[in-house]
Amino acid sequence: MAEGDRGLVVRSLSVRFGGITALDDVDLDVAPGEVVGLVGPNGAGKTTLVNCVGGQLAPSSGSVRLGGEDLDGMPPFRRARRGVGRTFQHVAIFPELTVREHLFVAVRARRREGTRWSELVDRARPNAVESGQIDATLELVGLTARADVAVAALPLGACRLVEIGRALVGGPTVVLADEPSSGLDAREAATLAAVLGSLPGRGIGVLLVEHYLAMVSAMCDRVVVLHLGRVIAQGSFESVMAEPTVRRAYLGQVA
Amino acid sequence: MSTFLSYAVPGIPFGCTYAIVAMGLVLTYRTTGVFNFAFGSQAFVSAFTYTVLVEQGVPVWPAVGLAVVVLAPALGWVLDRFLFRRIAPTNVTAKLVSAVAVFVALPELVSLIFGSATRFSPPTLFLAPSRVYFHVFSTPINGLEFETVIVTAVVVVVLSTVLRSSRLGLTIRAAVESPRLLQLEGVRSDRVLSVTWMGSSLMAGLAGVLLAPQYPTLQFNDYSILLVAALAAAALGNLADVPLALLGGILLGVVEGLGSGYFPSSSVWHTGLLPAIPFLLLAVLLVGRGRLRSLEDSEDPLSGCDPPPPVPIAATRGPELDRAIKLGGRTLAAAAIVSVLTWVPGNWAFTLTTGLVFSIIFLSITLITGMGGEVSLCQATFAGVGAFIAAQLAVHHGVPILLGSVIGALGALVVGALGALPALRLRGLPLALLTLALALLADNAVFPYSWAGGPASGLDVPRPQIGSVSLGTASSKGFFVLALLVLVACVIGVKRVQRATVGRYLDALRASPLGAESVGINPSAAKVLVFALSAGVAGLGGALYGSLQQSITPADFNYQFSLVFVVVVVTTGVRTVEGAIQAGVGFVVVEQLLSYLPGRWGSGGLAIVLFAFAALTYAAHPEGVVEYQKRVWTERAERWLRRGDPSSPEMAMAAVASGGARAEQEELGG
Repeated sequence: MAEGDRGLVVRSLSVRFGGITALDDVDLDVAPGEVVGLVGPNGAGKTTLVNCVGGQLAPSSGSVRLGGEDLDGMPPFRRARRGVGRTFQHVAIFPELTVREHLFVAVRARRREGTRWSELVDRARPNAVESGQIDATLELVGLTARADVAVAALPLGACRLVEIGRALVGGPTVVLADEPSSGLDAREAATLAAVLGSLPGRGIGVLLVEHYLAMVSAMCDRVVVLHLGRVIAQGSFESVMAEPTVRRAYLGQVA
Repeated sequence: MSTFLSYAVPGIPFGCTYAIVAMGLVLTYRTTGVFNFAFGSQAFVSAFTYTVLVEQGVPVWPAVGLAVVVLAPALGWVLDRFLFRRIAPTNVTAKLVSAVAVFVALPELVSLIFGSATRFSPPTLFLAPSRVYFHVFSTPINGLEFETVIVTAVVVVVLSTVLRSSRLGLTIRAAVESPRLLQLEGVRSDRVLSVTWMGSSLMAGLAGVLLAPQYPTLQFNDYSILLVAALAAAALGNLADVPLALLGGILLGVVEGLGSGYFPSSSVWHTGLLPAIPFLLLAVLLVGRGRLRSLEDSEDPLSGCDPPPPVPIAATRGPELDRAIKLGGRTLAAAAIVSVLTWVPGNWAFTLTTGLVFSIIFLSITLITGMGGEVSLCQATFAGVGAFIAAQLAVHHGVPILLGSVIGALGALVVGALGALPALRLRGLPLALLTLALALLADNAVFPYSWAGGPASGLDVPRPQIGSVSLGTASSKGFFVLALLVLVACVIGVKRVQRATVGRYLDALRASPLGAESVGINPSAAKVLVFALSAGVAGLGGALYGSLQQSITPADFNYQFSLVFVVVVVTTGVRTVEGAIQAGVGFVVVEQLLSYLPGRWGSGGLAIVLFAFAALTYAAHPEGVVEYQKRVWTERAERWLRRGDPSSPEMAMAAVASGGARAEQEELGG
């Protein structure tokens, strides 16, 4: 397997809504164990890009590959089973389920292809392997004490952690985190950064969409800057932020 | 060409009435998020009032004024003020079911108050109905047609002027985005919504009065067709585009005119296809149109402020109370069963047996709506599929009715799975509309054939024979036991699925399809599964119903029953199997009790009206009336059980309150 084929590989992705070009010929790679920051002003196309990788949106052209496998045309649930985990800008949780049930549903649904008729009448209990993964994830996101609380009763910060846990339980290849820190206070954001920061050590690639630049600078190996649907710069945080095009996109005309 | 026009032109006035209602539908849907099925009934109410007033000797114009200008907007205002406004904007099921409840209840209410005697059509408004005024391409235009077109044109002009160039129009267009955001801007958006409701209700009333003279007698059925045609017209405009809805309505009228002209009245096409054109069109549009397919429930930017839906109380109550309630419920059920088998008279035993059979059918709604989160308006059709398969097998092939019922259930299961295929990419309102279209297609183009729904006189269905024991006609008690056993089996089955992994997947999909799919849950598979299971259960219940009644006709399973079923079950509680049983038994018991009332009050319509009124409370208690009462009493019981217990929430609150007061005092003193 070629080196570039192991992680997430996005090639010449374009999305047009009617006359508006939301993404224009975008290339992006996230290698296993790498944290890539995706930044840019509002309307740059960051969430559009994440939706194209997650399968929530069909691109007008271009391709998305994961671990050498072509994901194009696949519905989101198949991509999830192939190793795409993601969170949403507006949390998309299941309020009635407990934290543990969130992780159970995710680990069970993601694990395999095919139909298991026994799931129609089983007792919805995790097996030994699943239990281990669920407990480890609970530990990682720090929700062990609240594992059996219905998520509706949790504050937003905890909900974001549940979503992250749900995205990474069962070991995805890449995790797409869409503005995970929005709406969180500094302490919650720090917990979240710690959780995300532990993923590269397990060989999981992270694509972090974030406005909170301190978090991007602390966590990311590489930063990609989108502006009006185009990649205008990429590289280390410092080098990217020093580029005049980036400063112009963010701050308007700067001397 | 002249033949073509002579067929097409008479369709235009019908098309105009469809168009007026369709524009009203789109207008209220866009501004309030309610897709108001009740416009069909509101049109009927205005037409009925107009007819009765004219019969009483009131001149035409005052009668129209009262029926259309006064009554119709007043009805709209009441519906908005006391019903639709109280429903949370994000609660799609509540909005849908409430509108369906009003649609079902209004005509029943009218016939309760005024009786159901045949009423002949009222006169036209201002032109002589059969006088030919002029010719269009040598096709004569009579007063009835001309008048309808004139009124429609006036409506269109007034509506577009108001929407485009008045301040009111501007606020209405702003309310389309979010009434609550508009309110934050200092606009009284509730008034704007009231005006929209009154305006669109007036349009519905006007359409009703225009439509009435086109038929010889006044019948509600014509108005339900008006509604469906308007739904199809609105679907052409993506449920969002007023001019397209107008165009769609008129086109549909023309297509129907052409159909009835070109297909000779004796042909299969005329009897089977022609009445089904609006439903076919509705189904095709829903499945085929790209934008409609991706139509999500209106995204209110402030929807995040809404509280999450309540969890069934049984899941949260304390263990000792849980045990006591379960024990009590089981004792009560056992007492009822023993009573039926011993001293209860035959007609009540029959009623309760019917209740058990209805409970089985209603369990299918627990599956599809309570667990699957989708409103289906074709459950009676699925029940009919099971019933007709079992009956046809028994009558023509001598298959024992119990075996036939199982085959019927399997047949319905397959139909349900197939029915889910076109619905895979739909949810919420478009899905409900599609199921309605399927139900109407079955009613009009499948069940009327004798190979399907049997002869018009009805299919004679045998009672089951188990070994040498006949659950025959003399007494229903044997059948009661059978129905009970089947119900228990179905309840156990549904509860198993509820608790299984699939039940968790369904919980996840119901709460957030986006989130569920992102972790690998296949929404299409879940939808096919839940439709198939639901249809299978409904089919089994339908087959038993046929055998219990011993004779069935297609009219026993028409779409109106589907609507009533949904209203009844959602009203009592759709999330739990207990809700379905309470709905099934409660519905027939109420009906039986009311049958002791004199005259038309005992005719069965009152039961529907009562349940529909109960459905209006659904706005405030989306978990269902029975479920809500259970919550209230459970909480009372828990408080009573914990009285004096220092760890109880009340005591804790009191401690916090007094402690807080003390701390405050100390702070002030310090």
